[in-house]
Amino acid sequence: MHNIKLFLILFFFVSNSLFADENKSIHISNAWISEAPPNVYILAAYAELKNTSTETQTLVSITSPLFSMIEIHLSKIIDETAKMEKQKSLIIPANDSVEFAPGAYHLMLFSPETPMKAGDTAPMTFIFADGSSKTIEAVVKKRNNHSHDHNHDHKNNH
Amino acid sequence: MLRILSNSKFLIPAMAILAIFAAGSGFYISLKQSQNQQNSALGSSQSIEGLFWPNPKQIHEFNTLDQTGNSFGLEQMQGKWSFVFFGYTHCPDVCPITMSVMNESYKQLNIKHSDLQIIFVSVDPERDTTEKLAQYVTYFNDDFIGLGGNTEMVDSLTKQIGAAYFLNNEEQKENYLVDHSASIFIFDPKARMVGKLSAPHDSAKITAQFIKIKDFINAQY
Ligand SMILES: [Cu+2]
Repeated sequence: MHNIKLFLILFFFVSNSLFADENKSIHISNAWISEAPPNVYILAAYAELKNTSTETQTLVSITSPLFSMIEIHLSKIIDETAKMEKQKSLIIPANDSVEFAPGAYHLMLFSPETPMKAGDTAPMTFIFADGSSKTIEAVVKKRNNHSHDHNHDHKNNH
Repeated sequence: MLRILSNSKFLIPAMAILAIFAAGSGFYISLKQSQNQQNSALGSSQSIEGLFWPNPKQIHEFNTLDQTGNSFGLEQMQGKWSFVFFGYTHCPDVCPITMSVMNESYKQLNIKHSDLQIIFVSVDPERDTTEKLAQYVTYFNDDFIGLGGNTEMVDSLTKQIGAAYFLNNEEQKENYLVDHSASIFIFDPKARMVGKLSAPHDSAKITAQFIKIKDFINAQY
């Protein structure tokens, strides 16, 4: 079981570096997966995506060998009701950044290969509309009190 | 109106109506003032965000199952303060955020307020079995209570509280999402819904609001 997981991860990194065209203008930081309670098979991941180029970048999909499917979601509270809306893509404007944060944009990770505990990591590849991609490692963490509504506006951040 | 007043035939009755109206509103204003004076002595109800006063909602008998499989109804709400939150265990973002924020708040409050219970109600009882509920709530805190059972049982509580939910399970049977209330409802030891905290939640704010509401309600006795 463990060998299969290792093989999947290695294969993933090798295949991505061989075939994909790396996106050099997107910087991904603070990528983390929220540890889920036992027997919960839908997880959330968060990260910050910074576009250092003068062109708009459009995130179209995310893959990981450790999850069966990953979707881009937006949590919304409308009339005191919590809803999640699946997003087909996400635009990261030129010289700007977009934050995936609790209570706002998040990545929905479906059906992990194995249960994930705080400290585990998962490779994730972000694929853009121009065919380029960026692979990073996301670390599993427990939520803390500071995980509420971090939906700041980054437009004025320098 | 002016044309009516200029007609002397209507002038006297119109003035009489105005006089009654003026006297009535004067009475209303003085009533309001004495109420305000009373409120400021006990902490004004207007200044407490989310407080349902003077009209708290009395909850009637309901019938759910807790995370150990025991029945949980009105009796279990009496004699304790309760926070009630509605969600589902497969919710990856809003529910675990709220649960961990409530846990932080509970840890701060529990030292002085041992009569407080935290209740998570699953609005997805088909997937959230009793066993799953137990694993879910105890992951956040061993003291937390998880309620479920079947749809009818869950609705015996959601309908009284007015916590609407919607299962988006038309196509994708396995991994469907549920729209649910994002608020935390506060109940006093008489099982009256005395307040509601709206999302986004913050543990320090929950703690402060709860203490304000509790002090206000206790001052009414
Ligand atoms: Cu989601």
